[in-house]
Amino acid sequence: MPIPNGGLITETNEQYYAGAQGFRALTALAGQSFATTFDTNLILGSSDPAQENYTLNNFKLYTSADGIAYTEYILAFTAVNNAIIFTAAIPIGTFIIVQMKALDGGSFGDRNATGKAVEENYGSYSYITINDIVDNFMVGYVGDGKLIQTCKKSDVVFHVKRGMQEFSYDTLKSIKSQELSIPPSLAVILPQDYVNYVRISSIDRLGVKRIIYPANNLTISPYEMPLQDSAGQPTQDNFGANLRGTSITEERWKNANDSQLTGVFNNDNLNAFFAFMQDGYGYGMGQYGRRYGLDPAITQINGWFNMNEREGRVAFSSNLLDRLIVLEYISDGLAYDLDSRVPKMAEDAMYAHLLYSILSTRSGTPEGVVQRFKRDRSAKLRNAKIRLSNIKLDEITQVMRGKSKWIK
Amino acid sequence: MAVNINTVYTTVLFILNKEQRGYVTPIEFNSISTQVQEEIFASYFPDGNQLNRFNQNNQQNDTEFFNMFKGNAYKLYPFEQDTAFALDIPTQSFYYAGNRTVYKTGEIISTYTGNPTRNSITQLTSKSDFSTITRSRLTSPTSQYPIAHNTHANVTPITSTGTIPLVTNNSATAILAITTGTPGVGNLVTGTGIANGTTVAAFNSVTNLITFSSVQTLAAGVSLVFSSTVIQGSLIVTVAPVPNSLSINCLFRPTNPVWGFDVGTLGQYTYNASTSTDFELDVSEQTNLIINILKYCGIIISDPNIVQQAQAEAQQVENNEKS
Repeated sequence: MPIPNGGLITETNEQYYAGAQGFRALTALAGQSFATTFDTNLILGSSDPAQENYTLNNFKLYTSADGIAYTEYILAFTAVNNAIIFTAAIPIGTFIIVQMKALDGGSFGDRNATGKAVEENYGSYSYITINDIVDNFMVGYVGDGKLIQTCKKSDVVFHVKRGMQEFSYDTLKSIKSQELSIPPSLAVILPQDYVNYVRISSIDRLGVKRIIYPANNLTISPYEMPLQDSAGQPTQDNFGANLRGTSITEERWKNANDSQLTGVFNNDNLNAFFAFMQDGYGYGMGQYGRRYGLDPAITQINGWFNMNEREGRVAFSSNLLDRLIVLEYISDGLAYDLDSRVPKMAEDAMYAHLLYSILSTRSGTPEGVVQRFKRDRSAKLRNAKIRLSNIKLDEITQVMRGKSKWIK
Repeated sequence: MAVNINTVYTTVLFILNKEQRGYVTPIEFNSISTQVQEEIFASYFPDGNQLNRFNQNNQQNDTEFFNMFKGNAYKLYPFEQDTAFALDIPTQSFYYAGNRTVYKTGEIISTYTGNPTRNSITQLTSKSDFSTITRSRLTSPTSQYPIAHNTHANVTPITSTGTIPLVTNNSATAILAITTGTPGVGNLVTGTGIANGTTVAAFNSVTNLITFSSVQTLAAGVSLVFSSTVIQGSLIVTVAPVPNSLSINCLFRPTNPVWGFDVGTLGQYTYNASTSTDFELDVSEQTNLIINILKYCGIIISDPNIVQQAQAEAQQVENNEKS
């Protein structure tokens, strides 16, 4: 593969795959500077391993006299504009390696540059940053002789961020996931950047995903639980606010025996089953909905979840206690900074979104022009969705091979 | 390339004297020259705006030397300069510390030191837009998208700060522990216990011995601030977030032209290049300068023919440029 020569790739193969870049000291002066060119910015908490902030570093610095045996450089240095600046003089001919932290610890010194900086950069070529989109848009679509003669950059930033949010909800592959265990409270806290869930699954002993279904109308986590007096009136505290109790609905749901809903019958819950029947839910099988037969929608053993908006948690049915689950959710792509990324497959759709958003909110734009760009945006967004839906002919063929199997 | 003032003056005199219409003294010529240079300089902006409409309508001639908009913009180059603005620490704003008069500010580059060091194009806004943009969480400025607004105020540039470690009892000298910068002679000194109007009389940078303009009685550890002369009505640029340094492509007001002279033995005026200041306008403006100066000369010597002729000439040049 060629070395970077002015194309969009700016890292060498060594920088990308190994996360390392080498230099050689040509003088023995103090204050020598070596500029790195990684796609990832250097993060330097401290050059001194004894300092707490040393662990914030996303790289390690190694030196060697012969280019074979490397040791970590633990004397003072700084990093400015992604350049390493040695405070003291280093001998002429010293080999210097900047190793970004990797899961395997890198290939130099004690191979203990352990972290995720290298892996986080893998695959980055398939994305473009929001920052680049804004700059490209200003170059390509704004200026004299163009449809948008002038435009405030802050307007572009606003629309690109709104676009990022909207695209994230239904177009981009920005599904995030967390692996969690269900605690005794039967509820897990929503992720910090949570916008909506995509799917929640429990993971069985084979590592297979079993989809957990929403409880929907089976139960609810009420938003308010006012304490009532004997007349049913809510009671208030000294400050005039309603007194709140704990949710009895949630308590009952937590203690519910799911098999009484799902129809699963086993020896473990035999006694509970008979007790349940005596509670007036029926005689015989006595399951929920029994009078009209079992409800197929709830006849499953994977469990249920429901959103507890009051506490910002996801609550689970009691049969999922201690189970491993994976929460897949979508965010809006803006949780952290402008380095948020857009897949290149959707880059043109983002430009079309910007054009339409800016022209449609500008007074005096002919309606025909607005409609033109509305259709342009719609078409490009549809293209982006098709591209990102990752439909591959071979995969469809593989699925279709199962069409002749009889499902009994 | 500037226009030589002696060339202009001698040409003007030559035209005026050719028909024995009168004489313009160097003092009058210098005043008229200043006025004409200002007029021509100020005309570039409405002209540029007008010529840009050709760009907007896709009608601009863009052959190598005949793009009128670019030609007009080119004439501003003698007045353009990337200028570093200084940080006023108390207000965390930037000010122009030079001697020239800033006419307009162009592109603003904010530099944020770090990994990487960012040189970000800064959006200049009005104060109200600044407040609005800052309050929106989607558009609040970052080091990649900083915003700025202009105002003006008197600035007292801080040159140095430091502390006096030991008690100073009724003495004009003390040892200074410098925190930042170096105090300069004449700097105003402020701090707890410092008498109003105290300045630095002397400072020894080897021993750090400072001599005040008057005796002082200071407690141990008192902090002192040394500041240079107040800049009256300086251009202030407030940037959010505050960068490490700021550079602005400024357009400066033209320096006043001066036809410097000596008085000869016969009482005549002779040109002195060393005391003269040429026109800063581009050399292509020489004809315009002469015509417009003649127009004012006609007024001075009360000759309507010259005024009319010069006005007609100037109008023709302008029409030709803009059509």
